[in-house]
Amino acid sequence: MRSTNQAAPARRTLRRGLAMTAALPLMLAAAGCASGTTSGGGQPDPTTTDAAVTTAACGTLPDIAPADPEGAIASLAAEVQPFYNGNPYPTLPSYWADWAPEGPLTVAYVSLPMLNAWSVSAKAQMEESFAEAKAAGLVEGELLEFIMSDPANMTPAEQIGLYEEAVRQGADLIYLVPLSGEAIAASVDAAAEQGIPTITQNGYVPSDKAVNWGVNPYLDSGAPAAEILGQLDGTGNVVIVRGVIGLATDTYGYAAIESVLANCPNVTVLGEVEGGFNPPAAKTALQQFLASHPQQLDAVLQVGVMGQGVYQALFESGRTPIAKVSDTGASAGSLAGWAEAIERQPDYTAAGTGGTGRQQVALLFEIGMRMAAGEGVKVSNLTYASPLLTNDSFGEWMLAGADLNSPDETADGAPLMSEQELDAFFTNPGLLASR
Amino acid sequence: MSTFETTGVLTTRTSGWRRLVAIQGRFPILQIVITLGVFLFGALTLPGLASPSSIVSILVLASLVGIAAIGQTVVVLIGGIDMSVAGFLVAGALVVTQLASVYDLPFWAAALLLIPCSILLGGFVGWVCHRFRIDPLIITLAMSSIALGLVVVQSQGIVSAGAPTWLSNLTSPTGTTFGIPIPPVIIIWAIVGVVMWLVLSRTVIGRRLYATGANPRAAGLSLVKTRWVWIGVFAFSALCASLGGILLAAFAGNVDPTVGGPYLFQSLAAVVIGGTVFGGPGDYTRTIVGTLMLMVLSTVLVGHGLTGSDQQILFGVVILLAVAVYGREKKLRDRV
Repeated sequence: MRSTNQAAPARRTLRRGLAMTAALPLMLAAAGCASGTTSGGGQPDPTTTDAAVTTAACGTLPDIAPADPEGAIASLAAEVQPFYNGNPYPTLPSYWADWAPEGPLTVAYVSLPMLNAWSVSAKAQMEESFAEAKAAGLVEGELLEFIMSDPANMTPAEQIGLYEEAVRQGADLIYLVPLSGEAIAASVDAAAEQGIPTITQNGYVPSDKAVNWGVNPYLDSGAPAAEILGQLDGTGNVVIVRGVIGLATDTYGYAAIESVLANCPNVTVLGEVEGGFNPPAAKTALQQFLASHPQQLDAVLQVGVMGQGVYQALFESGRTPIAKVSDTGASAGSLAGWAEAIERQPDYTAAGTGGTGRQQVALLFEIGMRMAAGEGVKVSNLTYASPLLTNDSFGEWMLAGADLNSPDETADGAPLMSEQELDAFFTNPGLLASR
Repeated sequence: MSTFETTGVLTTRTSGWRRLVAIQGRFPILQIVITLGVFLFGALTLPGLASPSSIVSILVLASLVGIAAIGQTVVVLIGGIDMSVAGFLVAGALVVTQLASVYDLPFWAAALLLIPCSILLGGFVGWVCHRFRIDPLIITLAMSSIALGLVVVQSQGIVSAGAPTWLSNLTSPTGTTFGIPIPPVIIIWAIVGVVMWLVLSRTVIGRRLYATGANPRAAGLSLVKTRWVWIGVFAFSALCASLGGILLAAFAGNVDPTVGGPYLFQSLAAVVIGGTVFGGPGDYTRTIVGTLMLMVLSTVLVGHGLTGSDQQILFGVVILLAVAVYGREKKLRDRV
């Protein structure tokens, strides 16, 4: 009896250990059942379930009706209406259609921390555009900058505080790169009640009083994915690299890829990994995936800005032929990877989209100045289609001297939008130019 | 069966259990069995997992986590926790990439600069925690922000340089070491593992460290300068993390301030899953096993289509199970 009692704690410890051993295979089995691989059909897109979808051949991007509850897009010139194909963000008549302030404006820039090359060049462009506008007498004083400080600990509440400080300091016009559009919407509404418009970049603020400016995520992820599936002649194995599941950018980018795949019955989706919109994280996830999938991989479709990590993982896996990469939101490093892929495999082709912080913010600032000049912005949501990069065009976006590890943005390639296209968003275009 | 015979069988069975438990107490047999089991499951269900290239890929990813967990292991052994691992990792990576570019420093000069800076900052953490009896959780969190902030301020918000291409060979699964087709990071990890085993189990430093973790008061009465142990351990942890940052830069290619985030959780998880208990017992060999288990498990899960969120849930469950097993064990101080 004595020995049995002494052994009890030891037996309990070992039993717990055995329970742990037994639990793991069960968890693995459950995991396998719950999240098996998907095939080309894809899941219904919750963002477009009610929208009219035009069936298209594999390798083309289906036409999907945009979110346009009041028919505002019809007020725009025909040349920019295709930019709204599949756009998930509601477009409404603009609250600021008749805004025509007097005198030079005090301008504020509320943005995210200096996290990457995009944020650095966007800030630099904002300062440059402000200086030019000041020289032209359009703005006055200094640019009020409210940049969040710590990327590891930034919160929507912190940005709301900075935004409201911009209002308190007398901003007449606020340019905003939102951390959370939903969280800051009430503050944007409150500022609008005081006559202060807010123009956003890279983040939709769900308020009819905001002016949202940014790329159409459906076209941005969908167009290069369609191009690549066309290059594959509608046959092959692909992997989808998602960003952060739950974030709008990921949801809409993924929905676009799924829409394209829905028309490709001979394309097999081997699986999906999550790269967190961060190239190193995407590299890690894809390396793990490749380690457990020996099948030929024909393409990697990623939702945005992770092309660099994808190319790193592909090269380091040593697999041939090199999988085509949908380089949505290309960077200097990812384009260097693209070029290296062609060097290793001369018949290599891929596709992507381009657009730098400098280009985007230059247009952002111009939209604000056009509004201030009384041109009358027509809609609450101004969007565009990023230039599509192919083997023929990606060279003009390549940054001289960049390699696969480069942290930089691409060079400024083709314009994101022509002046005529930008005119189409305003009732009285040309007033700013005439000043 | 007579009472005598029954008791005899029980005694034999009990001694068998006890022997197993004793072995498990000295070496993480259970974790090795689980790792091999999961790997076998993966090899059977995921063709290609057992190929040499896949194994090398897994080892490369494991070595990054394992190296990040060196400092965490020794901190846990003295009863602390180091939340500054991610901060020092990123700081190290930024120093050899962006800071070297901003100040036009050669790579080696930037790497050498890391040594005194991280020792100083880490040692300060150890001193503050011991002198004022403050929980390291708070101080290391603060130091993480300070270390990262110092580097970001110095780089003047400019994102200007990635890792040199030659550095990437260290962590590339296709990289070689003196012509041998094994990536250098795996060799580095193996050497570090041996050195850590020797230091912890065969030297006075190791004995003082265990004594401090087991019972600081008794250690003090035995003339172990526990404050110096704390200073040394946290300085060592900061140094390991910042030098590990060089390997992280090699792996990532370019570095942003968020790149170290996953390594904080994974390094701590590797220590706990390996079976190292706060204040001991434990050692770095266990952390190696914990790291391998974590990485094999996550690779098999990714192979079966689990997302990052699913993996986080399962990792949480595994950690809970590990704590359930080891948290009930006698601490080292209760055994002496």
